[in-house]
Amino acid sequence: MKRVDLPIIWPGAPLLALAIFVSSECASAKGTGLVFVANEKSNTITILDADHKVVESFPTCGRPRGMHFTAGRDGFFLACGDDDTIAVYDIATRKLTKRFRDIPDPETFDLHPDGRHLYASNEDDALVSVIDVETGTTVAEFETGEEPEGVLITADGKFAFATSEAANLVHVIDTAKGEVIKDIVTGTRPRRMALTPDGKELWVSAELSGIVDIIDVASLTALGKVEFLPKGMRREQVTPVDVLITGDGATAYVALGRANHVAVVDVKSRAVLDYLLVGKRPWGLKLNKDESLLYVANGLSDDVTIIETASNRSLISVAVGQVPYGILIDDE
Amino acid sequence: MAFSSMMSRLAAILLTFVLVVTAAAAEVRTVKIAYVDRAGDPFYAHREGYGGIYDATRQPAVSGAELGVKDARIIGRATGVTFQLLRATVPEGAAAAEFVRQLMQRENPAAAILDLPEADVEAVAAALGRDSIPLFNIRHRGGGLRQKTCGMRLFHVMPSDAMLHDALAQYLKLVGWDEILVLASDSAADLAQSESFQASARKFGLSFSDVRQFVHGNDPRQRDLNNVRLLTGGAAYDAVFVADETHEFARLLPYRTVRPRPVVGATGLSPLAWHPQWERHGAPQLNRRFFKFAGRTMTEEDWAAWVAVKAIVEAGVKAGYSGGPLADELLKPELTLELYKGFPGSFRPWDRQLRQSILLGTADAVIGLAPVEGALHQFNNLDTLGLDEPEFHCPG
Repeated sequence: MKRVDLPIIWPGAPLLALAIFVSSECASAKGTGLVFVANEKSNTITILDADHKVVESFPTCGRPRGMHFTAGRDGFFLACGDDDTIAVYDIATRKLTKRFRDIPDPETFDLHPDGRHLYASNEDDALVSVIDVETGTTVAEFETGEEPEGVLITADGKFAFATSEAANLVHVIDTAKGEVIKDIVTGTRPRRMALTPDGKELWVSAELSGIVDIIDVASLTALGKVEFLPKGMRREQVTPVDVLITGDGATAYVALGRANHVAVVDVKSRAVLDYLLVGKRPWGLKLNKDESLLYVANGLSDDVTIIETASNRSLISVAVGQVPYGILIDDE
Repeated sequence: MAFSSMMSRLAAILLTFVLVVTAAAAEVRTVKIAYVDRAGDPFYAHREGYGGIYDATRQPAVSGAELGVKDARIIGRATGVTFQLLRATVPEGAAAAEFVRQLMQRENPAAAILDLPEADVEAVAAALGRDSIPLFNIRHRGGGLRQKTCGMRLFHVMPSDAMLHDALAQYLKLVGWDEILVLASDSAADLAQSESFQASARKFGLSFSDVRQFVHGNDPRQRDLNNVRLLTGGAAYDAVFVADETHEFARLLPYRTVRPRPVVGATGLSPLAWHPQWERHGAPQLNRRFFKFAGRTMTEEDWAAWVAVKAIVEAGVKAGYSGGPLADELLKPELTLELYKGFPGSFRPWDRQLRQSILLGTADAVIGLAPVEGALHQFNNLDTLGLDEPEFHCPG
C-alpha cells in the first residue's frame, strides 16, 4: 500500500482521506500487479493477473525478448530482434509510446541507474550498443565476441557486463571510461548473469558446460562454479540459462533449459538444494516483489510455471503465447 | 648522487624496460591455421542438371573457415592468442603430400584443414604420420578413409556414412516405418551407400521389403530396372530408401512410387551434418552470420570447415594454458564444442571422429534430430551414431 500525502481539508477530511486511501491502491501509476510475458515466436505479450489468469494478450514488434521498466516505471522497454527496434510500451494502456529504430538485432539489455542509457546486446553484430533514451541516439558501441546476449550493469553503474555466447567470454565495460577493460573466459556458451546484492559476485550461466561460473567483481577473476546434474540426467541435458538471486543474497535460482527443471542454490555454500520440475525448456525467471512466487518461462511448452518459493512447489502452469522468453512483473 | 649508483640505477631502469618490452611482445601469439585445397578439384567443378535445369556447383568451403577465424578475433583480445588462416592451394597435377610437407616446413602452422579429394587426404595423412600437427577432414564421409587413416592424426569433422545412416535408421524406427524398400544403382558409390544404410537398418531393427537395383535411362528393354512403377511395385513397404550419387533418379522418385510412401536417403528425408533451416540451438544465428559473411547459404562442408577452426581455437586457447600439444587437447573429453545442433561435440579417441548430432532434413525443413529420444548409450548418447569403441579396430 502506497503512502499518499493528503491535503488536510476539514471537516470532510476523514471521508475524503478514506476515499483516497482506497482508490490510491489502483490509481497509483505503479504496481498494477500484472505479469508481462514476452513471446518471441508469436510476437505477442501475454498478461497475467495476480490470480495467475491470462487477462490480455497484445501484439508487439517482431521477436520480442528482453524487457525492462523505464526509469519512471510507468512503461517498459521491449527489445524486438527481428525489427531492429527497442519499443516502449505504457503499462496502464499497453500502448506503444515510443520506438528506437535501427538498433541491430537487440536481444537483451539493461538500463543504467542514471535511467537514461540503455546498454543493449546486438546479437548478429557482435556489439553492445549504448542508446540514450532521451535523444534516441546510439552514443557508444563496444565490440564483443560473436552472439552477445546477457547484459548486466552494476547497481552503482560503474561496470556493464556482457556475455558472448560464441566466444565463451564475459566482457567488462567500464562505463565511465567507455571501453572494454577486460574479457573473462567462461564455460561454454555463457548466457545470462546475476549479481549478488552486495555486488561482490557475478554469476554467469554457461549453457553448454552445464554450470554457473562465479566471478569476483573486485578482481574480475574466476572464483568458482556451481555444477548442475539432476538425478538420472546426462551432463549435456543440463543447459542453464537464467540466473536469479534473492534480495537477501541467500538463494539463487537457475533455469536449467533442456533439463526441464529449475535449480535452487544456496549462494554461500554454492550447494544445489533442490531441483524443481517445470515445463519444457525453462529459460526466463522472475521473482515477484516479496519473492513469494517464482515465475518460469518455458520456451518449448508455451507456458509459464508459477512456483511458491516457501514450499518450492509448482502452483500452476499457465498457457501463454509461442516460445515465452522473459517475464516482467509490475509490482514494485 | 655518486656516479656508480646513478649508473646502477640507469641499468636497472634499462633492464626493466627491456623486460617489459619482451614481456609485451611475448603476450600476443599468432597461431596459423593452414587451409589446403587443390586447383581444379572436381568437387568444385561446374555441375548442373541435365539441360542446365539446375546449378549444383559447389562453392569453396574456405568461407566457413574464414568465418571461424573472424568469429575468433575477440578471443584473441581476451587471451592474447590471434588466429590466422593460411590458404594454400595445391597446383593442378602436383602431389598433395609433398606440397603440404613443404608448407609445414615453410609456415609451421599449428593445424591444417584439408579441403582435398579423398586420395589426397589419405596421402597427406600418411606422409605426415603419427606425430603430425592435427589435420582435419571436412569433406569425406566414407568408412574406408577412416579405417585407412586410423593411426594418423587426422580428425574427422564431417560425420561418417555410418553415423548418417544410423541417424536415419533411428528416426525411421522412432516413427515406426519399419519395412524399407532399398533402391540403388550398381555404381560403387551407390552400392556403398546402400550397404551402409542396410547395416544401420539392421542395427536398429528395421527390416527390408526388398533390395533392388535401378539403372538410369528409358530403354524399354530394361524397364524392370528403370521404370519407377515397376521398381516400386509388387512389394509392401513403409518407406523407400534410395542411394543415387547422380541425384537424377532420386529427384524424380517421390510421388511416383506405386504405394504412397515417403522417400528417404538421397532425396526426401536426408541425414545431414547441417541444414540452413534448423531453428533451434542457436543455429539461425550461425546461418545468418554465414549468409551475411559469404552471401550464400551455409552448406555441410562450410559448417565442417567452420567447426574445424572452432575446434582448433578452443583447443588452442586451452593448450595455451596447459602448455600441452594441440592434438592432445583436441582429444580431451572436456573439450565441449558448441556445434549449434544441441549436443556438445567432442572427438572420439578411437577414430578421431567428431561426435555430433545429425539433422534429418527435407528441402526446406528439419524434421528430426538424432540421436532420437530413447536412443541411449552407456556413456554418451551421441555414440549410438556411428562406430562405437568396441566396433572399431585399428591395426597397429
